[in-house]
Amino acid sequence: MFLTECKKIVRSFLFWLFTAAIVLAYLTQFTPALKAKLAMPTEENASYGTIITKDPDVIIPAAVQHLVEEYVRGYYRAYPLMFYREVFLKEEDEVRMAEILEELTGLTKEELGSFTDYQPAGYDYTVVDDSQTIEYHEAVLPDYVPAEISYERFLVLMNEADGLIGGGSDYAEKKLTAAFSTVPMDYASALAEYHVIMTNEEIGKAYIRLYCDYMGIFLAIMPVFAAAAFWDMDRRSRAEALIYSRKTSSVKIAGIRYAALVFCMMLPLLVTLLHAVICLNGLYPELDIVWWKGFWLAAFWLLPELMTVIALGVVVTELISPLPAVFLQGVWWYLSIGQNELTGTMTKWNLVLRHNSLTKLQIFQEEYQTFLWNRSFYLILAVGLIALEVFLLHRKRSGKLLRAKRLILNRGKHAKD
Amino acid sequence: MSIKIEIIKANLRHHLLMPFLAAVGILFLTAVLFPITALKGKDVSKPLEYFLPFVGVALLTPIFLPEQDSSIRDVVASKKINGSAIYKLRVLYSIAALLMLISIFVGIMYLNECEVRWYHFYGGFSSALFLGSIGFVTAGVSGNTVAGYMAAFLYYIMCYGLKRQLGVFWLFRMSMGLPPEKTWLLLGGFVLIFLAFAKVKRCGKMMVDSIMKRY
Repeated sequence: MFLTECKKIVRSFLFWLFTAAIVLAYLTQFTPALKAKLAMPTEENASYGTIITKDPDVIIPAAVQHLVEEYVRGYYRAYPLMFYREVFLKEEDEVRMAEILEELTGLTKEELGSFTDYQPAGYDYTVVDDSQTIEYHEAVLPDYVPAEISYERFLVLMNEADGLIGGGSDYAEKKLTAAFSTVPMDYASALAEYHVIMTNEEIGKAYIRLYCDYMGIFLAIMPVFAAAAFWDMDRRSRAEALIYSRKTSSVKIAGIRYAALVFCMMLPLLVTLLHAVICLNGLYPELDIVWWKGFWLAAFWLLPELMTVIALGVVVTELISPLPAVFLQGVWWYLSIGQNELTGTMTKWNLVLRHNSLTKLQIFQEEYQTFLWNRSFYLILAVGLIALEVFLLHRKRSGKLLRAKRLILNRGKHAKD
Repeated sequence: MSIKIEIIKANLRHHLLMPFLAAVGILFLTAVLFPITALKGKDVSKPLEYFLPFVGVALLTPIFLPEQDSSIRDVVASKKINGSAIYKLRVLYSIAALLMLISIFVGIMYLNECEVRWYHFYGGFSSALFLGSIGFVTAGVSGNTVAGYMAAFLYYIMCYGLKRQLGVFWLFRMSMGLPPEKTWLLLGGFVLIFLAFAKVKRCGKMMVDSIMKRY
């Protein structure tokens, strides 16, 4: 039965559209990283990226400066509903925010209000005789002397500021470290990181992290189409009654079909991953890359996501129809990618996890526990959803779900009459 | 004439309601999730280019959906009136609904002190029509509405990945401060709709021919 289901999936147009999407994503997004070796940092580099310090002496001034800037600019950036929003404060909240700033900087509300020379940070372009120079300038803000304050009191004030903004801002305690404790990496640290990554153990994982970063975006939406259409196939071909009357258990029918969907949608991933492995073995002949750790990482990164998207699509299709399944997953996908930066923003709940870099190893290591938690949660969620699907299918086969649906529809009709 | 009005009435009642509600849902979500107050410059284009194209997808992609049920297709095929005429009517009122919804959204932006200009409206409409027509043509050619949604989403994601390589067909040009050149999207949208009709007409003819051969 498993092979029959796989054959049905592989013969469908949607599977090939899914395969085209994965291959296109792989070729356009990931393969440019396979063209050249990871560059060794040189002393001439202008920048070596950033590093997280977790040092209160770094966090406090950076957060205070950011809060001053947002206050004089007039609005605050936040993600209250998991999505970017610019928040304008009410009068009484602005008064309280000014009091917080006064405690942090010594600047009064009047001093902050009378400052009119604010300029955001940015680049200055100067063209002289066809040659262009670009210089970066810091934001122009009022002068202040940072108050000496304990880290505990600082956290209390930041939490209050986050509350005034409506939650979801960078001042929330759980976001403070990621938002304000990064400092530029120096040459020595960049070189040390490079040497750690360029080892048999790490290099494969570095490329697989980047691979999963790109593929994760596509896997959060693309499988739902094929899953929903496949699950609706019986209804479209009017074979429901025939299948419901079979002796085979609901666990077997739903389980095998689900397994076939997951297996078939893994095939384009396996092929592209194999291609990447061959290319990378050729790119780094001097290294004996340890791939199994990378494969484990890829499986744990992508499989729970794939399983959840398929399972949710299947359940909604069973309950209603394929189109609401697509709509629901579309909204979830958009919200999920909307709250991600390229690196350093993994959360316990977000479906799409990102680490768009071959380096920044320290950031990934900091987030590793969150990563494990997140993927374990989605693995359990997928299993739970499939258990729900088995239950729904069983109810449908025994006629109970259909009767309930009919009852609701009839009640609606009677109400109209 | 009265038959046409009856057809429009029946289609509006049975086939437009769900896509229209989905489109209104997308518009509502955009207004809730995206700040549309006092936007200036490039920021004005962002809700119009990043969210509203899905309104086009919601309205245009399911146009062939009713006839994908074989019993409805058989009933429609048995009628005197040409099936393509029905599809044309559906495309027309779906485009009218798209125009209306985008006008409402742009109107809300204007009332919220956003610096919207007529080209924002034109650009938003063209992007929505183009993305919707990708869903429409794929649904028509494959005979599967879900495939239509998938193709539209795929193109949208590719707009994030490929960016300027898509040239004048890149959906986010205004938001990135490039010259909009949205007429290409509008023309592209109409060409795709035309292609879908040509394909569906050919399939219909082939189906009739195969039935005639049997007799």
